[in-house]
Amino acid sequence: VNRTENRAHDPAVRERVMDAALELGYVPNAAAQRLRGRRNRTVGVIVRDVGLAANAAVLRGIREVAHGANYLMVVADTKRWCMDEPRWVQRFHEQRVELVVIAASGVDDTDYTGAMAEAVGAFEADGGRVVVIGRHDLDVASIRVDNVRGAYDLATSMLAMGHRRFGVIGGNGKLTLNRDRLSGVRAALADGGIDLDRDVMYLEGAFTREHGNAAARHLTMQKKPPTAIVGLSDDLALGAYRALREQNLAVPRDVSLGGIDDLAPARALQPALTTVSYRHLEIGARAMRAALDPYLGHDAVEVHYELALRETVAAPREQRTHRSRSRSSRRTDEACATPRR
Amino acid sequence: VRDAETVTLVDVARRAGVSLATASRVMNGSDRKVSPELRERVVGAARELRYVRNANAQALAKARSAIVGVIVHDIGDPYFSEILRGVESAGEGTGQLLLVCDTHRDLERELEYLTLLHAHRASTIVIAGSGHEDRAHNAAVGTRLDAFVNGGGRVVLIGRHHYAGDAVLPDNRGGARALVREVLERGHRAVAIIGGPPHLTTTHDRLDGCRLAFADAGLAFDSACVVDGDFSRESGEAATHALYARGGEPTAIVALNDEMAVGALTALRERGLRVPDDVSLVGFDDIPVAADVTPALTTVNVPLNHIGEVAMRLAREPASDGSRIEHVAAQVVIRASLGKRSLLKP
Repeated sequence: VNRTENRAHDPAVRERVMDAALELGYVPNAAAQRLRGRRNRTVGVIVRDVGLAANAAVLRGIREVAHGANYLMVVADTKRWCMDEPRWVQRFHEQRVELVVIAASGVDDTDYTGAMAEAVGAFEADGGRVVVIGRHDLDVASIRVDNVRGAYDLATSMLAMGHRRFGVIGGNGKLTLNRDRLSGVRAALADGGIDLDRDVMYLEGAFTREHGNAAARHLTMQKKPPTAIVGLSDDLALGAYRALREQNLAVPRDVSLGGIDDLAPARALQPALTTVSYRHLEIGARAMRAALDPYLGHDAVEVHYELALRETVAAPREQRTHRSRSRSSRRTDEACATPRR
Repeated sequence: VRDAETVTLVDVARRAGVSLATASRVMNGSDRKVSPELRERVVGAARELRYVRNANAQALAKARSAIVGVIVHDIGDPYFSEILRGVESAGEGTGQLLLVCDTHRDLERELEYLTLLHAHRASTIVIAGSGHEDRAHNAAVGTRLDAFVNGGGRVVLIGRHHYAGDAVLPDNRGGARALVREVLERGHRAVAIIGGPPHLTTTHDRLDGCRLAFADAGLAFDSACVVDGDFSRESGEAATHALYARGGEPTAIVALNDEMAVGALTALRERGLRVPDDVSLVGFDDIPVAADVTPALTTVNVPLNHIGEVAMRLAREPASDGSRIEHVAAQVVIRASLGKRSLLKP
């Protein structure tokens, strides 16, 4: 069923599968019901990768409020199979879970949105409550952050330092999170006279450290490598951070690096990561509070962000830009440079 | 003889002196072979105890979903994130559905989650959080896990637990012993240890390893050198400040996990102390950030992804008579944060 939902392009097949799935959701398991009473004080949380630092922080925030209100929290990890998410909502429904928080970015896909709308609609119609984090095309309460402006501010600050050659590392391009952050960077660069789609190498993949690492390697191998790299998440930037170090490139002396999220590791690094602080703990806590507050209805709660200008962004070294055409001269230069400290 | 309602297959197995799996094969008519002698013992024990099969549990067992429930102590701790990644990658393509429960180290909540996973018809429960040194709690956990296994569920434990089941055991003691040996060999004698929650078996085993290393070197171990932490980054930071506030002057700090070591690094930086020139610092686990901090952290590599994968492999194999134990080695990784004791310092 999972495969069919994800891959079936024939609308008739898809409809059949969807009907079957919905039917399953509406037929409660009698044996299970005998074991349970009424709706139980549980919040079901849906994420796509519990291993990502950003998700970990959001989950901690949800947990704090949930446990404080004496709710259990169960976390469903869909491993990026987003079509599993409506099925999880149905499963939670079936298990009489009271609240659902979708802690995963919206997906720009009509199949996904349609299936989600149906599942959360049924869940709420039956007395449950759903809250989504991020920009989803769903009529439920939501926690919003301005990803476009955050990314815009970050890129603008790098431009202000004098950077002209950028490399951008993105996650999954279908996610509204990625789209918003990318369009923020695009707008900032356009204001600086740079056309992202024409002049900037943009490498899309998954929101993981592994992709950040591989993409940063690729960027530094270019004939004219960027002087500034933007990771559209901290996980991507952390992967890039390690790749740069492994190639003996000093941050920010050789390459500037910016992330977006501001997770715990960003501050622990030396140099500490310049990033956009999105307060994930607060986002999680607000989401849980919104789930517990029926009077909020389907409103959106905005969580503010701020730019965290730390140590990984500095002015590009102009002379280096001219000399670093060939890798050998870069090596020599590196060897001659006096080590810091 | 107890009321027939409350007699479970576990009681039958105990009375017959066979494993739960064997008892289940006999009573639930599995087609796997059981010797006639064992079969007779099980049937006899069931008759004696007036055991009645739980049809409800069986109905649930048959309708079992692909849900794998993983119980962790802190979902935000990279230690668990990395184990979960291993669990995920082992389950890729199998249609496995992952449901993670975060106890935040609350014993009562752990029990509630076990009940909840049972009710959610999980096929497997992986207890990724460390075991507890708490007899009453362990008995309560045992009762719930027995009921779950009885209904056809699979249980895999990570770390040392007081429950007989399939388990993946990282060598916490051996890893700590090797780590502290490296510290002592570099001339450090004033060693402070940032400990974990005292009731966890992981804390016990790692501390034990530290003690052994001191004994190996013919040195006395003073338990006053242990300051309390709770495995969180914040606690590592606080413990380090507390250590200096009470007049400690260690030349090396051993944190029993990397998260606390990273916290300690922040605290040392705030106090103007250089690592490793003024004080050496080591951690445990080798979470990804350990290699990224400056100086990079000397630690014990616990192959967390691998542990998650092995746990899932055990869960997928058919139940066996005895418990299967997979031992996982823990290797010291020397990085820049560990140096020789400065001769100018005490």
